[in-house]
Amino acid sequence: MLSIKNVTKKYGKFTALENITLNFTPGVYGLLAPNGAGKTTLLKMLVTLTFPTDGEILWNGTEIGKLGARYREHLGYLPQEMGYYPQYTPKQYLSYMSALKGLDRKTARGRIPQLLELVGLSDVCGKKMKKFSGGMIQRVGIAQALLNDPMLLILDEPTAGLDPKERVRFRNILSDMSKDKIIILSTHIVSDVESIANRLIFLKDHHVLTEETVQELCGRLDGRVFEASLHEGEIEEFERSHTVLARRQDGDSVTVRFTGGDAPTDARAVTPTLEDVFLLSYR
Amino acid sequence: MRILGFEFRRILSDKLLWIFAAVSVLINFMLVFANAPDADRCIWLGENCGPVTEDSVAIFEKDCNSKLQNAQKRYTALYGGETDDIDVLYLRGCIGDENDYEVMILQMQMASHGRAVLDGNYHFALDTFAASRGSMFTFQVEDAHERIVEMNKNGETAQFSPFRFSNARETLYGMLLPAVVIETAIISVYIVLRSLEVEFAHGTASVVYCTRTGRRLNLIKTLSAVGVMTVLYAAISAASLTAYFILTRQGVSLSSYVAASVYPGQLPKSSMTELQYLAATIFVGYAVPVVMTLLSAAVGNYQSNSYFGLAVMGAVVGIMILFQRMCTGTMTLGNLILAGNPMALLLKFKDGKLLFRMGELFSYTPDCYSAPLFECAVAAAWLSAGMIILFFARRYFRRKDLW
Repeated sequence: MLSIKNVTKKYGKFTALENITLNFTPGVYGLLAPNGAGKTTLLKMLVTLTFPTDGEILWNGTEIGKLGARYREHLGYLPQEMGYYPQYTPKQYLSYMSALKGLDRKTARGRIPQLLELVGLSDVCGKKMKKFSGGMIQRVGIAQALLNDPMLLILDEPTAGLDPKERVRFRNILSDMSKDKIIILSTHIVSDVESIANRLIFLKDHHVLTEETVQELCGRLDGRVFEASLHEGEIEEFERSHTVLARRQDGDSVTVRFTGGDAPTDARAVTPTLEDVFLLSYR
Repeated sequence: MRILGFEFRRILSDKLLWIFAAVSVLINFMLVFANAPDADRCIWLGENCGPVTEDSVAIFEKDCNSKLQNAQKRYTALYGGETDDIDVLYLRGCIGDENDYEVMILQMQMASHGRAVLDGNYHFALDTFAASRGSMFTFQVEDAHERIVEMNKNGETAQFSPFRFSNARETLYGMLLPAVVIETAIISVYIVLRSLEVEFAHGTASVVYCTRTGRRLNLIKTLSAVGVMTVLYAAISAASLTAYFILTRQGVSLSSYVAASVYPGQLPKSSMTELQYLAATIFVGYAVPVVMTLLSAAVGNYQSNSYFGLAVMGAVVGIMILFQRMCTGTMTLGNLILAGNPMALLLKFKDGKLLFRMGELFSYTPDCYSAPLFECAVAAAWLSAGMIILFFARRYFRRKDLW
């Protein structure tokens, strides 16, 4: 349905993305990369806020720039920094967005209360947004992205500012929706995508590093991730010969999660997580 | 339509807009209070407004001669000797106060122009333009003849109308209507720039521009700004005119024909009553804020800060006025081009002085501002230019990186 073919994006002499090729079918895609790898640039190209220098992005075989509004009507987008109109209530804001998205008045009237309920803002729907916390604003943003029941939902850091309960609620919403939609989720928070993403895309040095399922990615490290208990004084020496993925203070000793090098005799193999893969990929 | 309604309401919710509008109306009320024309003169002019006939002209002539003779007698009694120079008679205190002097001048003009019409020498006074005005003179003669033919055909008689040859309407056309136009233009620049800035000021542009109609939003915002501006222009005009007509004693009927008025120095272009003339002036004046709105929208499309936009618009207006300053007013193509900007509907430069021009719309005065259909051509040219700029601004943004 959505194809990115040999896309390169340059800003003057700086290359933000180079020769990216990806294909998306319905499901949840997690886009993971450290800062500056080009995640947001890629998403902005997908939502037509910026255009490729080379290559093309196709929606059902047609270039998205040519489709214009016909492409954007299938789109739901939550940007990294969600702006809002301080004088509007969530209800007014969603009404305005529904008009921009081309929803008729009747559909909008039905959809807005449902979405406010879905994101847990029904009780404050008449309150001006200038009084809202960051998390509440983010939830309004999620609701606006879902307003037109989009075929392609693009979310840039959607859980930023949400408390753990809301993050779980949000993940469940996405999971329910993913049957017939393409959902692309860009995040730093590995746990957000670990449980719901069908496939993960890692970007590194402006290229696609890998595109696989969580199981495939974690499977690569099977039997290669260990935990061992060390004394404080041993850590420095240990780090020289091993890749330390995490440390945890346990009384006088430190529990170290690591990979590579010879495992100490008391080390035990553990199940690799997506975070291990991420840390190893971008060390 | 729903988006238009949202944008309309958003503009109207700006408190500063209402403060601007209230201040504008207040300024206009003060203009009316401070510059109300002399009531006696207005009433005199109103009473003497009427058809040019042998009797009416004879009355003016008789009255004039009688006043002149009395003044001369007083002069002889006070100073000895004789003079028929009315300026000298006035300065030596033989005519009366300033009002008496101006009424006498008007009476003399009406008598002489009325006599010229009755004698069939209507075109005679136009000769004064002949030496230097070339084609302008031809236009005026043609127009005068056309009008006389039209008047004869309609069974109308030439009118003594106070409209053109008095300052009875100076406050209205020289101050009040230009003030309404300038105030509305300033408000329209403000509202359109503020409206276009909103998405960037609140960081909502990225969400809005990837919706179905997001890329047309600036166009919709411009249309709603034009709508609000139109409502304000109508409201400010109505409030100001109401104050003017209530507070100024009217000796003049708005239904009298300005086209038939007997004053060859400024010949109204078409056969209009004063009411029609007033409506046409308001309508042509409307072109100025419309054009300023469209230009501001084009400026607002290219930058996201309304204060910077206001500075750019200030510079644009400055350049327009500078162009007009370079125009001498004579009928040359160069001057027509220099004068042909929206400001030409409002202002003109004459003898190095900046004058409001709204009192001279639709009239033949011997300068390039009075070329046939000048007002309509200027308004149409700039409306077209504004639309073209908007069209290209929209095309430019269709495939432009927004960030």
